[in-house]
Formats: sequence, structure tokens, C-alpha cells
Amino acid sequence: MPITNKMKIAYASVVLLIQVYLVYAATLYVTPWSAGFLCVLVAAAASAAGALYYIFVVARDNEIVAYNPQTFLEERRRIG
Amino acid sequence: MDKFAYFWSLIIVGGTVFLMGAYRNVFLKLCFIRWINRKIREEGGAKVERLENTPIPEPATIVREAVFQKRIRNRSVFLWLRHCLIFFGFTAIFALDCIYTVFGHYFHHYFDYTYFTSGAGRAFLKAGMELSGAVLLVGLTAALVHRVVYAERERTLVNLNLVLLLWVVTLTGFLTEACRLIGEPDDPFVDCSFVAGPLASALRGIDAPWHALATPIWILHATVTVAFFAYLPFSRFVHIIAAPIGRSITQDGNYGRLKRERVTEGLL
Repeated sequence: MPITNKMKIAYASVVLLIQVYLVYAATLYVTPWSAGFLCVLVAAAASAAGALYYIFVVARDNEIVAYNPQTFLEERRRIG
Repeated sequence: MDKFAYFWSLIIVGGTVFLMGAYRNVFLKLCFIRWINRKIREEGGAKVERLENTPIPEPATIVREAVFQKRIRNRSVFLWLRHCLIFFGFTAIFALDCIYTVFGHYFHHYFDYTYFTSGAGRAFLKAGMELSGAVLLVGLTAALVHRVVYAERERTLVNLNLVLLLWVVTLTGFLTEACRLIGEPDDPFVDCSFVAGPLASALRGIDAPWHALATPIWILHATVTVAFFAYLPFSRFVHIIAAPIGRSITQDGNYGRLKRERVTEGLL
């Protein structure tokens, strides 16, 4: 199938790295370990958990808007 | 919680929703396209890209359809003009805003320069964002009016909520800048804000607590902007990315012709 576990892990890693970077960027504007910064951390932790759950559990990798890759390939073969 | 704590929390949540949508509607599609192109190539069937399995269409296709948008022009000059105003306005203001954020708000924490913080670079970016924002607002207003007037015909082609959301983003952007200028009337770059500047002058004449409203309007603009970008990969605007890439499958032969007739026109 088009998507492998390695690809999913690579994508999830990019998502987590971006979140870590955004938390770091937030420290330029929000005092570290203040109440506001804790809100940023909570948002980041909840987002990371949500993203991992979505990528590894929820997302249906064998279908894109009712298009199964095998069906798509067969249609491509048939029409030329 | 101050406005920046809210802003960064919002950016992180919105950015994650964007990336989840991008996984579903861009990353997976790229994997599909790459997989199908490879299979077809292995079978020696229909012509697939010269770039092996890379899902990139030919440069001529990108120029013809992504830049000049010839297929929309074949439908109607008005629709083509409307789409061009939105497309060029959006891409220009997005690019300029990214440059302004990185060089005007971020890198100066690490590097010592004034070109983008108080020099000519800031003036150039301000003027560019005003111009592209105005172009975008005109295109979106035309789209909204056209969608309302031809509601029956356009219902399945134009997502009213999405266009309305981007229209609110653009309008609140000008309002935010106008409120800033009300609070900073001696801004040396006020002439570059040739839309927000006159708007600020007009608003000063209205008896309202503009100084107190500046922060709520800034928060509203940030919220609708992040909401728009989070919604982007789940909406039809995903064709900004997916349509040119998908053309690596559809640009040749009968499949391309059928695909154009059946599906792609519906996305425009």
C-alpha cells in the first residue's frame, strides 16, 4: 500500500519537532514558567497527543475520499 | 493570560490541526500519487513523469494552469479575474507576511539589523502587504457577491463559509493595522499603509474607544487567521497544493481529459 509505518513515523516526528520549535519560539514573547507559558505547554502537550492519535489510530490510510489506491490504479490502467 | 500566551497556544493548536489535515489530504495523496506513478511506470503503460516516481507535473503544466490558470479562463473571464485576484493576492500577502514575521519579529532577537525593523525593508513589506491585501479583498468581495447572486448555480462550486472566513481574515487585518495606527499616529511608515492609514483617519472621527478595542481586534484577527489556516487542508483550498501535484497523474492522455472534465472543474 502507498503508506508505510516508516512514513507515518517520519511525518509524526516532523509534527513533534515543529511543536517543540513553536514552544521554544513562544519563550521569546512569553516569560518561561509563567502561568501564560504553562498554557502554551498544555496546548502543546494536548496537540502532540491529538496528532499522534490521529496519525496512528484515526486516519484511514487506505482511502482518500472514497478513492481506494487499487481502484484508482485500475482506473488509470483502464483509461490509459 | 496575556495576548501573546493566547496567541502562541492558538498557533500551536491551529498548526497541529493544519498538519493533521495536511497528513490526510496532502501527505497521503502524495503517497498515493507516487505509488500509482511507480506502478504505471513499472508496467510500461501510459506516459508518466520523466522524474521517475516524483509527483511533480511538467513545468509547462504548472505555468499554464497554476500561474496563468488557463482552464478557468476557458470558463469565463470574470471567474478567471476573480480567481487571479484571490490567488495572487493570497500568495503575495502570505509570502510577505512570512518574511515580515521572520525578519521583522523574530530574527532580530538573534541578529543585529534594522533593515526590516525600522529601515527600508519594513517600508517595502508594509506597502506590499497593503497592496496584496487590497487585491485579495477585492477578489473575495467579488466572489462573495457572485456567490450570493448566482447562489443556485455556484452552491456546489464555491464554499461560501470558506470565502467568508478569508474575507473576515483580510478585513480584520486592515482593522488591526488601522487600530495600531490610531495608537501610533507618528508611525514613520504610515504612508506605506495606504489602505489602513486612511481607514485609521476615518475611524478617529468616530467616537469609539479605539485604544481599548485595539487588543480585542488583534485577538479576533489572530483567531480567525489561525482558524482559516487550520481549516485550509480540510477545505477546497487544499487544491492550492494538491491540484498542481495531482496533475502529474492527469496531465497526459485520456485519463487527464476525463479527469479534467469530471472532477477538477468542480474544484474551481
